[in-house]
Amino acid sequence: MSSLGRYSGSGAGTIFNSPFVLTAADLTRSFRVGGATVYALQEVSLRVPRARLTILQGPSGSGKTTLINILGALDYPDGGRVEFDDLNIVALNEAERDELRRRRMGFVFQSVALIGMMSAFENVDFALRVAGYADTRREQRAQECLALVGLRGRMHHRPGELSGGEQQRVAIARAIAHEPALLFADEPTAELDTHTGLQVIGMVRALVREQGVTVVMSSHDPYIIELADHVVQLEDGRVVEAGGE
Amino acid sequence: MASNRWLVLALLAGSVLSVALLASVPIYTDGVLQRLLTRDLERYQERTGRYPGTTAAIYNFYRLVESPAAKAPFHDSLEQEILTNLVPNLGVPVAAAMKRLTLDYLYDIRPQPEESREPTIKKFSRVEAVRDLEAHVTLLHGRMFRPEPVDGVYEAIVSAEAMQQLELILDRSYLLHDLLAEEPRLTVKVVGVYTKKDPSDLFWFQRFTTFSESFLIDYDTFVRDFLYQPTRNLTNGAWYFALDYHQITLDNVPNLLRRYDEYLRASAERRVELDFGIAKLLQEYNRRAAILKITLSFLHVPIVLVLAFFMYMVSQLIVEGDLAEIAVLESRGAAGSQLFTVYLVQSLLLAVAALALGPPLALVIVRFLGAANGFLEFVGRTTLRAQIGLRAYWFALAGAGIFLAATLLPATRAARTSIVELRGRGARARRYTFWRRYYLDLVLIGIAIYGLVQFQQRREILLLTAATGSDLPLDPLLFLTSVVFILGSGMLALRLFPMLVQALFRSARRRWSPPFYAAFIQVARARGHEQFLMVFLILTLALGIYNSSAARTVNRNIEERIYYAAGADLTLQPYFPSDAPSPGLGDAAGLGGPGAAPASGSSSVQYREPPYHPYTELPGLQQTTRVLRQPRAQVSLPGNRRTMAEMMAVVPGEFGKVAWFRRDLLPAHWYHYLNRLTDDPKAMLLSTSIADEYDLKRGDTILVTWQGQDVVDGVVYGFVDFWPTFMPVGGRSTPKLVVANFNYIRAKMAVEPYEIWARREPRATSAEIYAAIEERELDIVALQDAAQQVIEAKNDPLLQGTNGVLTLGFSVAMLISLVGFVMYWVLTLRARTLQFGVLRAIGMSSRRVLLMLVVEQLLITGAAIVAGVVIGRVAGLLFVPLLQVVYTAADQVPPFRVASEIGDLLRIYVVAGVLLLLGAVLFRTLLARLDIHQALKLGEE
Repeated sequence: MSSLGRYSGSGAGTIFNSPFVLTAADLTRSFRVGGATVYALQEVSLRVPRARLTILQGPSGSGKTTLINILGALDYPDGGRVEFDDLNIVALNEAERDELRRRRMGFVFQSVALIGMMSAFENVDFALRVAGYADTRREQRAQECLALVGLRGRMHHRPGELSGGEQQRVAIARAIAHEPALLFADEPTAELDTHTGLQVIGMVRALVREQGVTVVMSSHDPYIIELADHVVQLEDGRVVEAGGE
Repeated sequence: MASNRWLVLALLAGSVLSVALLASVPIYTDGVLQRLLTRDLERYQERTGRYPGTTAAIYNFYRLVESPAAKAPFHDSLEQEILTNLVPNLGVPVAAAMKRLTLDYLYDIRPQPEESREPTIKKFSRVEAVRDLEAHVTLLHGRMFRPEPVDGVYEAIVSAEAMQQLELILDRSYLLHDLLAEEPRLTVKVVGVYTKKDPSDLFWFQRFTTFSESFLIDYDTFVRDFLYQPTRNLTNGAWYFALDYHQITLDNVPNLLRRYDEYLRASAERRVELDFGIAKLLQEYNRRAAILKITLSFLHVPIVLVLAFFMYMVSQLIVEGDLAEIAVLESRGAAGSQLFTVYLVQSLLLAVAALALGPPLALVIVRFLGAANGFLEFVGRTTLRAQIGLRAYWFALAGAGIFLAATLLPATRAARTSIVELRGRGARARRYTFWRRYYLDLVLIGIAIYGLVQFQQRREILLLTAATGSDLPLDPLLFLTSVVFILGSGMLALRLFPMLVQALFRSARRRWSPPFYAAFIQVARARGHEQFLMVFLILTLALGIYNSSAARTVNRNIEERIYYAAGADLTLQPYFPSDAPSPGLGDAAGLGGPGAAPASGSSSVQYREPPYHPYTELPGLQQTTRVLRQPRAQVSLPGNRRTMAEMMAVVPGEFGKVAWFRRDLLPAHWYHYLNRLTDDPKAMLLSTSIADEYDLKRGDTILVTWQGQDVVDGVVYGFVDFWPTFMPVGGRSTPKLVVANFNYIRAKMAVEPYEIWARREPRATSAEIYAAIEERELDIVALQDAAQQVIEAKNDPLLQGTNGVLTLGFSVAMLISLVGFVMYWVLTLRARTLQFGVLRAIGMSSRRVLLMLVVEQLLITGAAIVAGVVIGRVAGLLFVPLLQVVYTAADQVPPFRVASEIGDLLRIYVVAGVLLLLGAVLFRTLLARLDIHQALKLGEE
């Protein structure tokens, strides 16, 4: 089943056969630190191919998180464009950006950002409620997603009762539950040990392959590039190399 | 640690406040007591005309008549004892001292005018000597005596009163005989007439200093010739001291009384008469002081409790902020005791700061308390003498102790937390707090209910024995019981709260929109700080409401008792001229009460009625009416039976507008009873006591008369338990009352003095009315002003202190809950920033996140407010009636009624509303400032 088709079809003015979900051009973002201006991103341009795993790779401080925040409509660039299915998301207002994130994007963060008081199931269920998923399909969909990440059996546990890897898997389930066009994962393995980290990456890989999800993931780990369909190398806020497949 | 700075500041404020509050207890109590003492002493002076510090030791030397040689040594040792021992040990400076020696029972023989039956009479007099007399007199005529007798004649000066009383002539000598001994005789010569140099000089003791039958001679000569001469009888010697009563303070009263008691016992053996007029007053004062101290201390308990809770909460927040650090330190080998020491040092530093800043703040608090008149009412009263005494420091120390305990409790627990436990924190299986596990809430409520039952039984006993409440101290237990009840109920509410939220959540689990869904889950499952906030708000509001109800009830009932007993705002007794022998104004003025008729008198006195209309035209009075009251009327009942009763004749229409009456006292509105009086001129209302005793019914005919009056007949139209001024219980026999129509009685009977009752205009002052009475030269024998009596009653230090402390408690509680509320939310929101970031990232709009917080806060704060209000009201209904035992006579008329003022509730609701609004504003500001990517970054640290 392809969740992607349904969603990309519903977007207004979507060019269905475009191979790229997202295109960014000339993104610049600076921060004021003390008295000086620090450039986190300088004229970054990239394209995210549909139904592929794109990895933003680079050392700490190279601008990966800033880039993901801008691509995911969590932050604004100082200059440049981000086109998401022909929509320049930089020009959208706050409510439209909320709507965009709610319906068409999913996020997995470096820290496990689950809601502590809610069980795994409720976390996913809650995301579906936010996305406006119909009452009738919500429970089934949540269970489906948890099964997808292999946590069906533990879905009534709260985050505190789950291991770090399990928590991150719940976060992935939550991020894909509403069938987003684009899943952002910002260093999802940073707080996990190597073995668990690899498991999580493997899961993301499987989602791309089997479910046709488009993923943008950042990582400072050079070895993970092996798993990518498309790699964007960042260094000091600039794209130094892009390619793959 | 950055957020810690604010917390530590809050902790400091809390500690300073709690130390100040506790220190204010003794400062305030002492201030009030000092004011009370000064007032009591001044009243004593007004009442007796005596200087309050007057102390006297008097010895009657006549006892030593059989051994005249012993009198001089005895005198000397006694004087030694008094001057070096007794007086200095009393501990109060002496403003003036006077020593007097007396020869009494002397007389001289005077020839009488020729027409008298006896040719001569004996004129009795005394010869006395006063030490230092010369310095205190001025001579009106003649000269000062020479010390030495001239040819055996003692020169003397006398007062003008004595000149008249003894019919003396200047420069004449008198031969004085001794009534009790034949010899020796004594000749005195009047050489001068004196008067007091300064009449207000304390040297002149008001009651003893006119010397109206005395010849005063030189002191030293008196001592030599009469004291040291065994041949002569000395009558008595007296040592007077005027203790400077302004220096009689709270601190030296106990010592003063103890010394006085000691000397009283010792002097009784030696038969020295000790006179210390204010001893009784001081003893009574001491007793009241003890009551006041206990009462006011206990009234502070809830405030301190709220503060302790506050500091516990803040300390808990600080410790939790440090928890990760603690766990890491522990994992690296830091001992729990070391970590505890860190907190101990921090708390000790704060405690020291609080001890330094608290007492001065206490002085400010005391000023505030001193100005409290009623609950949340202030007047510009003379400021209290507020001093930080030793006791204040002890209380401050206790406050610091409570502070340390409250702040260190979370630290002791934290010091035992290991990193493993910390990691498990997020898990569901969180331990319940100890009070939950041991059902402490139910235990507390049980204790409170048991106490309530006990007190109710005791109250019934008190009501039966009609003991007066003013003799009983506020039972601290009663007060604590109500606090325990509120605490227990608050905990119970907290136990039930998550269940309630859970139930609400389940009721529509599927349909809740995301903000509601998240809020419900957060509130139902989090067992964290919000419980503190809730306990806090519940306690604060419940205590606030309970306190206000208690204060209002006590005040209201005291006012009602005064107004009921007085009958109306003003009751005047005009002067009725009569033909009775010497019916002077002075006679009647002493009665003051009802009926200025001569108490016992000739068979029929003819009175003339003064004009009534000037009274009706007095400014400041809305309505006046005439009320005839005869306390000893004879009532003849059917079946030839008789009883004595009070007779009251009223003009029904006017009386209804003037008299004070509470609607709930009679089964029907009391106008209904007044209307009966107009139905038939002969209609009379009887007290139920008469009906019960003589089995009367409506329609029975009775006859009423009293000394020197005609007989009137009446028909019984109704029975009343209560009537303005009528006390249905008390006295040796059951009080009885007959109420009749004034015009009917007036038509049937001779003129009888009546009272004029008046209702004053709402804004008229007593002074205006008094001035008008004086200006129009209205002859008034007595006047009773209920408003003045209320003011007087409200000056009672117990009541004043209660009002002050309850007002303080209320204000502090409100302030603290506001601060606690803001702190709780700021910290919670800060801790949840990451969560908000996530919620925003997954597409929840700011408005919906705000909605979620508002729902959360409505659930938490709203539920706490509702619980607090309900618990406060219930506690009021249960416990406030018991206050009757404390503040008023058990047989109070009208019956005690629980009062609450709508204004207080409004204030509380305003505070609650402000809290909720403040929360919403806080959330909005926070969310507006929230940068999603910044919030998310927080999670990465």
